[in-house]
Amino acid sequence: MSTAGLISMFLSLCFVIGLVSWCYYRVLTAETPPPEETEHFHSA
Amino acid sequence: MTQKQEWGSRLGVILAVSGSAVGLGNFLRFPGQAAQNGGGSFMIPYFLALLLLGIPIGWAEWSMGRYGGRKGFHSAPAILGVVGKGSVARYFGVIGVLIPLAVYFYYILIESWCLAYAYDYFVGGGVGIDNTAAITEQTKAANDHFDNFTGANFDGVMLDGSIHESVLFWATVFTINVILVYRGISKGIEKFCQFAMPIMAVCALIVLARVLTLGTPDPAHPDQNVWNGLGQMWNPSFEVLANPQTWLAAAGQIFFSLSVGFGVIINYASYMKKKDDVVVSGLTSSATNELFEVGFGGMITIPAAFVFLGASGTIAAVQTGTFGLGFKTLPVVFAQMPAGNLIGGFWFFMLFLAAITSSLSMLQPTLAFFEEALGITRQKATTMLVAISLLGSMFVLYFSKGLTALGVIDDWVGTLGIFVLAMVQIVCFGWVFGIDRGWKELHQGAQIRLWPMFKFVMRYLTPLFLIVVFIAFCVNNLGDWISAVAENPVKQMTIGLIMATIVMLVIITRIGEKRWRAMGLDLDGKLPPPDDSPGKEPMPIYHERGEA
Repeated sequence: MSTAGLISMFLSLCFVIGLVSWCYYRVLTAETPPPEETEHFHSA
Repeated sequence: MTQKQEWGSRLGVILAVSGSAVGLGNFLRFPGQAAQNGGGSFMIPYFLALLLLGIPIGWAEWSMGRYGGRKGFHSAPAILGVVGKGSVARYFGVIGVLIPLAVYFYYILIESWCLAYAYDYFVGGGVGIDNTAAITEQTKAANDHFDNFTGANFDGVMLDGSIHESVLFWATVFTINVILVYRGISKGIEKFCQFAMPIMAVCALIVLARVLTLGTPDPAHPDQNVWNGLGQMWNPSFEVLANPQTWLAAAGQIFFSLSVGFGVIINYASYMKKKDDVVVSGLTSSATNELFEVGFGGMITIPAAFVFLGASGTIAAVQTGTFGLGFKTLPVVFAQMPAGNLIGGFWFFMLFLAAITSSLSMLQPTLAFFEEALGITRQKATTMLVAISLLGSMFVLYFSKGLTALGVIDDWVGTLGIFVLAMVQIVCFGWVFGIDRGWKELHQGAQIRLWPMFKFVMRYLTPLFLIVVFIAFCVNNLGDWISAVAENPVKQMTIGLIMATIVMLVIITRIGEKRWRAMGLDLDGKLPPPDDSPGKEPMPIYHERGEA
C-alpha cells in the first residue's frame, strides 16, 4: 500500500469512527424528554 | 386492551433505521465500487455525496415522517399527501409502499441464500469446494453451487414438486419475518434490531480480525499479502476524479446504501413523538451505516480476495457484481483461508442479519398502509401482506433462470423508484411544505442546531444534485433496460407484476383517501398537527390490534 493509500484509509476510518462515536455519545448521554401532551390524543 | 404503535426507546429507532440501511451493499457493493473508481480518491465524492445528498434527504424523511405521525398517519402516501398538500403528492407516495413491498419479493430470497450459506459453513463444512484443486476448478465449484442452489440455470426448478433445499430456507426466513413484524414496532422490529445489530458488529469484527492477520499465506506469492490487499482497496488514483462516472458511482452508492427514498424512514419516523430528536438520530443512523460500509466493508472484502486471488483475480471478482463477489468468489477465498469454514459461517451469518434487519423494514410500511387505508386490524393486514408477498416472492422464485425476475424488480423498482421517491420527498419538503416550516419541524426537540447552510443545501443543492445524478443514470441505463424488456417475455411478465402491484396500491390509496376524508382527517395538510393547536379534535391513531 502506498503512503497516499494509507493516508486515505486512515482519514476515512477516522472520519467514520469519529462521527459514530460523537453521535452515540450524544444519543446515550441525552436526557429523556418529559412526557408530552400528544400522549392524551392517543389514549383509546 | 389496546396498545398504540410506538418505539420503546430512541436507541431502538436508531438501530432499526440503521438495520434497514445496512445490507449486502455495504459489504459487497461498496468495496467493488471504491476499488473500481479510484480507491482512496473515491472517498472524496463519496463523502461529499453523503453530506449533500444522503444525510439531507434522510433528515427530510425523518422530519416528514414524524410530522405525519403527529397527524395520525404512518404510510408514505398519507404522509406525503399531508406534507405535499394534496393528492398529487399522495399518489406519488404510492412509490413509498411499492418499493419496500416489491423489493421484499426478491430480497427475501437473497436473505435465505445468506442463511443457507451460513448453515453450510457452520454445520455442513462449506459449500463443496476442494481447496487442493486448481483455482479455476474451485471457482467452477462455487459457481455451480450457487447456480444449483438459486435455480439460476432453469426456470421452475425450485417449485417442481420436490422440496428444494433453498425453498426450505426461503420458507423459514419468510416465516421469521412475518412473525417479527406481526409482533409490532417495539416488541418485534425494535427488540430484534437491538440484538441483531451488535451481533452483526461482532461477526464483522471476527471476520475483520481474521482477514487483517492473514499476513502472506502463500510464500510462493509474497506480493499477495494483506498490506497490498489494503492497497488494492485504498491506493488513490486522483485522475479518476475528472471522470463524471466516478462522481455518479459515489452518489449512487451513498444513495442506495442509506435507505433514503425507500419509504422506510418516513414510516419508522412516524412512530416518534413530537419532541423526539430527529437531527442527531438521523445522523447517528447514517453514521452507523457508514461504519459498517467503510469500516468493515472497505477493510474485509477486497483485501481477503486479493490475498488469495491476486490483483487480477480480485479485479475479475469485482466485475462479477454483488452476487458474484459475495456468493461465488468469497467461498473460494474461505476455502483457502485457515479456519475458513468458521469465518465463512460468521461472514454469511452477518450478511443474513444485515438482510433480515432490512427486510423487516420493508414489511412494516406496507402493513401500516393496509391498516390505515383500509381501516383493518393488524391481523388482517398481516394476512393480506403475507398473501401478496407470497405471490410476488413465488413469482421471483419460479422465474429463477439467470435471476431475471429478481434483476428486473431491482432495476425498475429498487433503483429507478428510489430516485423518483427521493425527488418527490425533497421537493415536498423544501418547496411545497416550505423550507422554513421544514427547518422548524426538523429542529423540534433537536439536540443540536444545524448550520443554516444546510437550509440552502436542502432547498437547492440536494434537489439539483439528485436531478443531475438521476438524468445521468437514466441516460446510462434506461435505453438498455427498455430494450432488454422488449426482447424477454419473463422480463415483460415481471413488469406486469410491478404494474399490477402499482394498480392495487393506487386503488387502496383511493379507498384510504375516501375513508380519511369521511373521518374528517386533514389529509391535505391544511391544518397544523393537533398537538400544535390545543382545542382541536384529537386525531385517531391506529392500534397494534387494530382498534382505533
